[in-house]
Amino acid sequence: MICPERQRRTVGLALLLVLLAGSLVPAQAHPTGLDLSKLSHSAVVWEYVKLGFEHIIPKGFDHILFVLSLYLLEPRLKPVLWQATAFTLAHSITLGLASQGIIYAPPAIVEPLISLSIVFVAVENMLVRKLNPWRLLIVFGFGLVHGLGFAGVLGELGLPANKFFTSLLAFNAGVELGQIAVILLAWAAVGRWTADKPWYHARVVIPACSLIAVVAGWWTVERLFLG
Amino acid sequence: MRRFLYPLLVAGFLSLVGYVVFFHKTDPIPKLQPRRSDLALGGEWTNTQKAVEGLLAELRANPDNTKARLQLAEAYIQEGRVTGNHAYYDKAALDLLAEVMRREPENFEALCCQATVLLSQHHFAEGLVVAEKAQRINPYNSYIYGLLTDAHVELGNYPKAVECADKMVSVRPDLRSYARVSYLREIHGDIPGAIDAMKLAVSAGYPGLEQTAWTQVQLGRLYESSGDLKRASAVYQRALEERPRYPFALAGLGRIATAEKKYPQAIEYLTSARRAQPDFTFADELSDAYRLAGQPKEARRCAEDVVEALAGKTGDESEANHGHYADRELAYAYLKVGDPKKALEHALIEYERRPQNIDVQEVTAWAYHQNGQAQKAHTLIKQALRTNSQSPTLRARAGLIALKAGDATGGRALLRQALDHNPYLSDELAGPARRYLAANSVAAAR
Repeated sequence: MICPERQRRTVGLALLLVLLAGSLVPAQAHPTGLDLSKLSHSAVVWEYVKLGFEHIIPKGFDHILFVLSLYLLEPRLKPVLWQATAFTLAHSITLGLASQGIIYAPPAIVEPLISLSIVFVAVENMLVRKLNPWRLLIVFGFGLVHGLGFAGVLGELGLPANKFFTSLLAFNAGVELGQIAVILLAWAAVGRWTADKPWYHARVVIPACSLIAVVAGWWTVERLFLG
Repeated sequence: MRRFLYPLLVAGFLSLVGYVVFFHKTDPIPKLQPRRSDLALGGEWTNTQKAVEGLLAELRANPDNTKARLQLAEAYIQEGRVTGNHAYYDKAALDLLAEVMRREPENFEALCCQATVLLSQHHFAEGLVVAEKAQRINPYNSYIYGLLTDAHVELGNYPKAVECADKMVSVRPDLRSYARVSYLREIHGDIPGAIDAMKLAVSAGYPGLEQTAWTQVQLGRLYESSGDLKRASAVYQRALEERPRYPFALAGLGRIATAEKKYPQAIEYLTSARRAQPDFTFADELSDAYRLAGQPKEARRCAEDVVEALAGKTGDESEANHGHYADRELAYAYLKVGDPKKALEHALIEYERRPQNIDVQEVTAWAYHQNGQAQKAHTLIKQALRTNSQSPTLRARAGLIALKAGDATGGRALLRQALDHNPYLSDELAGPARRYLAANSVAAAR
C-alpha cells in the first residue's frame, strides 16, 4: 500500500510534469483575434484582462516556466511575493514604454532572451539552496525583457486609441492574475506537500528545474536558429 | 566545485546574451512563396519574382531603405490577392509595415498599406482608425477615400461611405473609385446605375491586370444577379481572354453553368478555379453544383472543406491565419453542413462586431430563422432591407422570414420581387419561394 504522503507527492509531481509537458509546444508570440470595434469601457477592461490572463494561461508556456522557476527554489510566501513584485514592476515599465512607442526591441532579440532568462533561473535554482541577495535584481532585469515580450503581443493586437491606459492596465492586471494562478497551482500541486521536506531540493527542485532548463534551452535554439 | 559553477553560469549567460544582442540576425525579411501551377504561368509571375528579388537584394544591402521595404509590403499585399495566400502574405506585409512605421510613424503610404491589410482581414474598425489617421496626414489622396469607403460600408455607416466615395471619385475618377460607386449604387437598389459605374471601372483598367479582371468579375456578378446570364457569361469570357485561368472568372462561368443546369460543366469550371486558388467560395459553389448534380457525398465533402478552411480563419482555432475574421462566412458554411446552432453562434459574433452592416444583419436574421426564432429574424431582416438593396437572395430570405413571422403580404411581395429579379436564384431559396407562391395563387383562385 502506498502511504498517503507519498501518494500526494507523486500526484503533485505528476501535475508538475503534465504542466511541463504542455510547455513542449513551441512558445512563440501568440496573436489574438479580437476586434476593437466600439467596445464599451467595461468591455475593454474585461477583454484585456482576459487577454492578459490568457497570455499566461494557457498560451504563455514560457512565462509559466519562468514564474514556476521563481517559485520553486524557496516556495514560501515572502520570497515569492518579493520576486513577483520585482518582476511585475519591471515588466510594467517596459510594457508601458514599448506600448507608447518610446522604446522598441525586435522580437528576434526579445524572444530568445526570454527563454535564456528561464534557463538562467532554472540552472541557478539547481546550483544554490537559498535565494541570493541579488536574485531580486536579476528578476527585475528579466522582468524588463519579459515586458518587451508582452508589448509584442499587444502590438499585434493593438490598443484602442481612446482607451489606451485602461486597456494597458487591464492587460497588466490579467497578466498578474495569470501569474498568481500559476503560483497557486504550483503551491497546491507541489509546495504545500513538499516544501518543508529535507529532500525537497534534491527530489523536486533539481528534476523540475532540469526539465525547465532543457525545455527553455530548446526554445532558445528554436528561436535563434529555427524560427 | 559549486563555487566555480555559479560564475560559469553567469559568464555563459552573459556570452549568450551578447551573441543574441550583437550578432543574431534580427530582421529576417519575409520571402516570396512559390505560386501554384496555374498561377505560375505567364509573364506576370516572372516580373513579380524579378521585382521582389530586386527589393530583397536592396534591403539586404541597405536595411534602412524604408521605401524598398514599403514597396515589398505592397508587392506582398498584391501577391496575397493573386494567390489567395493571405495567411502568409498579410503577416509578411504587416511585419514589413511595422518596421517602416517604427522608423517613420507618420508614413502615409505605410498607413494606407496597413489599413488595406486590416480591411482584407475584416478588421474593419481597426482599419478605419488607421485610414482616418492617414487621411489626416494627406486629405488629398483618392486611395485613402477608397479605404474609408470600404471601412464605412463594412461597418454599416452607409451615408458616410457615400460621402467618401463621392470625394474619391471627385479627386480621381478611376477603376477603384468607379468600382466603389458601383457597389454603393448596388446596395442602394440602383442596379442599372451600378452596372454603368462598373462598366466605367472596367474601361478605366489596363486589360489583363488582376484589378481589371476583378472589376470584370464584379460586372458579371451584377448581370448574374439580374438574371442576365448571357451578358454575365460574355464578361467572364472576356476576363479570361485578357487574364487566362483567372479563378474568379472561371467560378463565374461555373455558377452560370449551375444556373443553366449544366452540372458537369459547372463542376469542371469550379474545380479549375479551386485548383488555381484556395478561396473558400469556390468550394462552397462546388458543393452546390455537386448536390444539384446528384452527388451528395462530394457535396458534403466540399461543404465540410469550407468549414475547415474558415474555422482556421476565425482566430480561435488557428493562430496561423493571424486573426482573419470569417464569422459571417462561417455562419453560412455551418448552415450548409446542417449545424444551425453553430451558424447562429458565429453570426452573432460578427453581429457584435458590426451590427449596422446589412450583410451581417442578413446572415444573423437567416441564422435566427434556421433556429426557429422567427420574430428576432424578422426584426433584423427589416433592418437589412433599409438601404433598399434589390439583392434577390436578400429579398428571398426576407420573404421567407416574413412569412414565418406571420407577415404574409410582405412575405409574398418580397418573394415575387426576388424571383422577378433573378429567375436563376439558388434552388435553396427559389424552391420554397415558388412552392409558396404557387400554393397561394391556387388558394386565391378558389
